[in-house]
Amino acid sequence: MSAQAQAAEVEKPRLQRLWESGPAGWNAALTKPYVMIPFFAVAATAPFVTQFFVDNFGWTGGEFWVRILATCAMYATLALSLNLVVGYAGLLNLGFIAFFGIGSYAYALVASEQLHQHFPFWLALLTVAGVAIAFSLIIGVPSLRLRGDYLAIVTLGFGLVMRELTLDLDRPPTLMGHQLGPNGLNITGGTEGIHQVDAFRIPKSLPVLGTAPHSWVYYWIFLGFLALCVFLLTRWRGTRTGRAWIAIREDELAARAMGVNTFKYRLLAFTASAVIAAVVGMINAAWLFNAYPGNYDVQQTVLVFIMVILGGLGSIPGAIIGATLVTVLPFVLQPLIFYRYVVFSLILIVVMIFRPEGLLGTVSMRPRKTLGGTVELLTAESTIEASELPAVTDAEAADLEAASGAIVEDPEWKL
Amino acid sequence: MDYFLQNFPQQLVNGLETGSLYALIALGYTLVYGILEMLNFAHGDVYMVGGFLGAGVAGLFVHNGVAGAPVGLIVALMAIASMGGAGLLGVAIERVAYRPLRNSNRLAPLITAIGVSLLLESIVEVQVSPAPVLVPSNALVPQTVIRVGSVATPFMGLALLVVSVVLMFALDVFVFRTQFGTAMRATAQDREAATFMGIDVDRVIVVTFLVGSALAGMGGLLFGLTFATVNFFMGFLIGIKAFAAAVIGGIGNVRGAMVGGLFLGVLESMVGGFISTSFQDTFAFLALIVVLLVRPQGLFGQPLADRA
Amino acid sequence: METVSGRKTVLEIRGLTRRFGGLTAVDRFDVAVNEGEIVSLVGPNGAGKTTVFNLISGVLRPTAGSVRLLGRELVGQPAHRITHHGVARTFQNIRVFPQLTVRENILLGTHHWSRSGMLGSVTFWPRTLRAERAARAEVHTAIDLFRERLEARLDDPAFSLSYANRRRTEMARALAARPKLLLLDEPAAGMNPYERIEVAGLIRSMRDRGLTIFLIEHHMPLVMEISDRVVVMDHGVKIAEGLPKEVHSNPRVVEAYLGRRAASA
Repeated sequence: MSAQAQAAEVEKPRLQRLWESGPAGWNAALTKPYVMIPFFAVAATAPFVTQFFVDNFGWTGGEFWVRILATCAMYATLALSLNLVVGYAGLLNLGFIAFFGIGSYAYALVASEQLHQHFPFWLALLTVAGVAIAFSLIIGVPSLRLRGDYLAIVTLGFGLVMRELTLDLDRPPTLMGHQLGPNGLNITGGTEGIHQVDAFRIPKSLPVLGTAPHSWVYYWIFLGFLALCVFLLTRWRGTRTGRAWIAIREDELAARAMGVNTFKYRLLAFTASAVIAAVVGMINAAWLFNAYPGNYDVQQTVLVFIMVILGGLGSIPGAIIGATLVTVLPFVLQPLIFYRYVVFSLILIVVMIFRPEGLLGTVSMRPRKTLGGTVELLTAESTIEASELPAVTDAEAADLEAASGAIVEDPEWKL
Repeated sequence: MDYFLQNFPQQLVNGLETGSLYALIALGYTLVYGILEMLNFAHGDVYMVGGFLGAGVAGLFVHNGVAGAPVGLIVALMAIASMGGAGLLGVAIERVAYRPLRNSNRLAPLITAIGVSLLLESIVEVQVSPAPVLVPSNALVPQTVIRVGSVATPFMGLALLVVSVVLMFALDVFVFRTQFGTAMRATAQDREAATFMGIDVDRVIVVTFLVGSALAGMGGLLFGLTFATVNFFMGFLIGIKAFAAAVIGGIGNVRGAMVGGLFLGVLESMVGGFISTSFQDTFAFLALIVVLLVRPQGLFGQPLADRA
Repeated sequence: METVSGRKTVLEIRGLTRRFGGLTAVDRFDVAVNEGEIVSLVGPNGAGKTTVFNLISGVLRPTAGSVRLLGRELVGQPAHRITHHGVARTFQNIRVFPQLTVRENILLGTHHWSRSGMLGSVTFWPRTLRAERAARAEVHTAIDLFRERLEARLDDPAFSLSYANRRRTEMARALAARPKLLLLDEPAAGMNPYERIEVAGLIRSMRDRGLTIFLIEHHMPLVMEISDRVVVMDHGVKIAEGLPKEVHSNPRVVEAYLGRRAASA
């Protein structure tokens, strides 16, 4: 850029430059601490705001809306997790919600009467994370070398199998007509799920948390975990790990050529996403006091996809915005509730066709012109016989150059 | 061992019947994948819509379990509705949702397809019925059970097998012995070269979707008549299994899809009969993983490109 | 392994062969590149030159033969390990990462030697922070040769760059990998004469900094000007090797490019 042009650039007001920088710039701006911290601080006061309206205006919707906000924060975190695996690493994990289910069931099994275990919080958290890591390795190691569409089907199948297993393990399995295990064996509670799951034990003595209503506490827990995930993802994006992920997504061959162990990084993304989803599942189980098979519904996966695509693939603030819109809108526009899957799937299709980047996305899914342009076509190793070259009469250096140059030179070398 | 030998023929027949249903649907997947290299996730839901269309027509003519018109006529109309309706639906989906993304990054049509899938499921759930809808098959098809030796199968089960095989045979002739079929195979091998040869690729793609979806629609009808019920979610699970079947047979390979479907049906039946019904789906899924790891091109496919 | 002149042999290829079904793309190819040399690989289209690069960098596995980098056998190693051992390359059709900025692209070059990990980055581990700083410093070293061109564009996404700048980014990225051997695949493709002069200067500067360079190029005057040695391939086989002048007048070479009648004219 010439000195004049550069000077002109500096002249433009900051906001205009920000606008012109496009989604990449907006995302960078929105994830700065001086935006994120106030955002979360304000969000944390929401329950108090609702309480204010309840106390002074007799509003009856206070509790309901805190629960909606908690659900919102929950889905926002799930959207971030999906964004990590699909938006950063480019892996189409269609069985994504299975990890949410795994998290809720793993926690339910160690914190309820189902197996007569009542782990304290940190031990439960470690267990849930460990189980999530185990499952993601079991699925990931064989499948992550597969091409995108195959990976999609395998993960979809995995989600399905988890659901089936969960529904079927409320009775002892049979093999060749023989029953394996004692009569009363009921691990997952079948269609009922697992009930009376322990909530997190929060000491009453804690300042605000100890005495706040159940839904408020869980809203804050979800919000806190969301904030943690935003921090993790932002940090990773700005360092070697995130760059490697995006490189893999953009051009896997070139990434490998730069020394990126693509398999290892895919596994890392897959596993990190799985752990995040599982922890969300754990919090969900503690909040609702149960784990149930509906947690494995594939429609939930598609719903989270809609959130991520709408907000913009590859964008952290986008995922949060998308999750909020999809969760809250049906409650604001009442008739929408019944038709929400219809409407949202339509929105997904329309967005994919007309603006696949969504609101703030940075993943370009549009047709990509080859970066090399015409040169690529001309210099691709093709079996052009020497005799097909344009006729030349002399074997001098100049003609040698002209001859080879005639088929290789880019006609438009105005760059 | 005795248990095994005694029950084997029955399980085999059951497996072939289910498998032929998988094969019918797998064909749609493999045809579309061969030409567009795209997984049409909405395909299973097209099957489901076919089933509902058939059930709808049946509902028009059958009241209180009594057919109000010649049974043959009703079934024929159901077939037209299912196959035709499903075929048109497939064409419409391609035109509206997939064609605009044909040159995009491969992730895009996949994501759109899952959107279409959810759309179809939720429309049917909300507009038609969230609960299973009964199909009055006992008024329309014989309910006799055919017995040969130790093997028993309801009439519809056998009909399912026979109709599927006939349709697969017809498709095979179409793809391998007609000019249009050759155009389809050419387009599947090299889309760009096909256009140089004067093949109207858009038309080939439309016909591919039409045929694949019609087959799926027929599958839905057959399912409805065999099991006397359809529900808005039935396409999902069978869609995945049919896809697994297509991959096992070699995705993109028509005969592979047929064999893959039958194989998967038999495998499932064996697992269900001899191990446990709880693990049927798990085994189907495991079969898919094993094939993808050990022989990703499937039984009939070409070896994929070599890489270090 | 030391050559007669006392210089180390950085790259030693012996009997390299690659078959694709019935087609032999590379047939018993031998070459040795010594430290500090600039060796050009030339030949008509379809000769197998990029295939040789793909074989060296691990994108393809050879059917037979050996590739040694400073004595270490590279065949059979995954591509990312080969980069780690000291081979960096650029591509014929420029493969920068479009959605990443120029800076981030170049930072990717540092990936294989940087000690910054997942856990360390979120716990602000000192070693990780140091590694990130070192990587960022390396970016400036890497664009040293292209200062005026790339510095202003460091934070622009790669897709918004001109063709020439994308090439420069790709080269800087390869330099950031601190390679022992640099494979350049048609570095001057699509360039006008002024840019070609710049490329020639760049390649010489890189060599002066201690790099060993093996390049594929079609533009003959450029090849003649900067190469220490030229290797000519045709139909997968090496047909000539030597000083630029020798190779240039070699009848077999002329024949390969222009046909038999031109050679005997």
